[in-house]
Formats: sequence, C-alpha cells, structure tokens
Amino acid sequence: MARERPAPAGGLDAFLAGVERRALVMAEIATRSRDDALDLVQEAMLSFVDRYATHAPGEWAPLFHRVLQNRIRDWHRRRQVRNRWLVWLHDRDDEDDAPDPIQEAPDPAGRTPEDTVALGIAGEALVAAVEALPLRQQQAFLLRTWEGLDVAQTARAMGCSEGSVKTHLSRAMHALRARLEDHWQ
Amino acid sequence: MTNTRKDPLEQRIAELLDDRAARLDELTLARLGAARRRAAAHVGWAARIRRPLQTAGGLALAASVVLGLSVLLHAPKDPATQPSPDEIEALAEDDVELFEKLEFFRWLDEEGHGGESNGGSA
Repeated sequence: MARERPAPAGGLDAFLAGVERRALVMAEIATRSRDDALDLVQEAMLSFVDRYATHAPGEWAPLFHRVLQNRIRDWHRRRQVRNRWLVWLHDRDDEDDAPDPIQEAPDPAGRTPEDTVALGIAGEALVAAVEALPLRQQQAFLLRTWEGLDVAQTARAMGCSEGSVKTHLSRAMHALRARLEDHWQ
Repeated sequence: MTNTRKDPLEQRIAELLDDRAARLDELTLARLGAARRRAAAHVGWAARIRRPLQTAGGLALAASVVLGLSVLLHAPKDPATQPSPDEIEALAEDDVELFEKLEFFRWLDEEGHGGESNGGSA
C-alpha cells in the first residue's frame, strides 16, 4: 500500500530541500557525472514546480521522481546517440590500432582503475554494482529500496506498470547478488 | 532514507547511499541550494505570468473566433451560383444583339417598310 507522506511543514521549498540530496545521488549514479547530475536535478526541480506545484503535497514525491527519471532517461538516450556517432566516426577512420574513444574516455566520476579497486576494497563495490545495473532496474531498485516509494508510486514515477516494476526490481536484486557474491555473503 | 528493511543487502546499500548523500561537499550543496531557490522563485513567477498569459490567450481565441465568423458571414454564398466570366460575356453579347434588332426595327419604321402597318397590297 502507498505510504502516506505528510505535507512538508515548509511547503514546496522544504520538500525540495528534503529530496535534493537523494535526487542528486540517484542522478549521479545514473550518469556517473556530478555536473550532469546537478543539471538534471535543477531541470527536474524547475519542471516539477512548473507542472505539479499545485498538486497535493502527498503526491509530490512520486511526481518529482517521475520528472527526474524522465530527465535521466532522456540523458541516456542522448548519450546513446552520441556514442553511436562516435563509433561510426571511429569506424570511418579505419585505424585498427587506434584506441576506442569510448573505452579511452575518462570515467565521468573522475575515478581511476586504482580508485575502483579501492572502492571495492572499501565496500563501495556495492554502490558500483548499483551503478552497473541497466537503467530501468537501477531506477526500480533506487526508488523502491532507497527512496521508499511503494510499487504503485514507483510505477507512476517510472511511467510503467506495477508488474514491470516488480520485474525490474527482481532482476536488479538477482544481478546485484550475482555481482556481489564475492563481497557480500 | 533508511526504512525498516528485511534484506541485509538492501539495507547495506541504502546505508551506503545515505552516507554518500550526507557527505556531499559544500560546493555541491551550494549549487543544489541555488537550484532549489531558483525553482522556488519560479513558482511565484509562474503564478504571476500564468494568469496574464491565460487572459491573453483567451482574448486571442475570442478574436480568432470573431474574425473567422466575419469571414464566413461575408464570404460569397456559393461560388457555383456566381456568374462566370464566360456567362457575363454571353449576356453582354445578347444585349448587343437586342440593341442591333431594335435599331433594325427603328430603321424599317423610318423607311416605311413596316410590313402589316403599310398595308401589304402590292
């Protein structure tokens, strides 16, 4: 059942203040870029207040996350198109020994391979595993498990059916357990 | 946002994410706060601008309706019933022939060639 969320005492500003950090971390996990995540959260805030500020405060959380998740999906679509162009341009160069620009691109989060190893040692491999999930599984996992939305609210935020949310969440948990079996028993 | 979770893996990941959100640097927090204030200000701006825009939109719609109706009311009823240029030309030719006939009968009268009126006895 949907968990009732009381209206924030400070109204819209208090709601945004309460959700902004988690929204940023979600966007950063999805994009692996702090700057892109900040841009997405800012756009989501503006779009949310423009379209949904007059809605009941109890509806704000799923509506805000719907806007944010749509922005994240749009960001991924643009990134996929850009990557296809990069691959196409790379193929046209016909240089077999040239490095793959995608593989050679620096980690947007600024991590080196050594950092990644260190993260695994430090237990941040759990978060890295969430980052590695396919986007829809990642969204379902974060909204349900971390943000605390129920299935219906998550479905509304993701723009899909409740059955799809359960499927994405089940696959996410399966993938996480498979990936983390060496780190998590 | 940590809730009561049964799955230890979910619980651990949520704690790590909570920690990550809590340890955001000052610059990032400042940028988030600026974005939030901009959004909050946008609420007031949207409320102020929306009503005039709605009024202007309503006026524009009403003007469009009036203009459309006036065009419809003053448009030719049915183009098919209007005389075409060929028909107008034919009518003009008919008129010329009528005047030519009138002129001919007037000449006959002046010349005394009026058939029945002049008797007919040869």
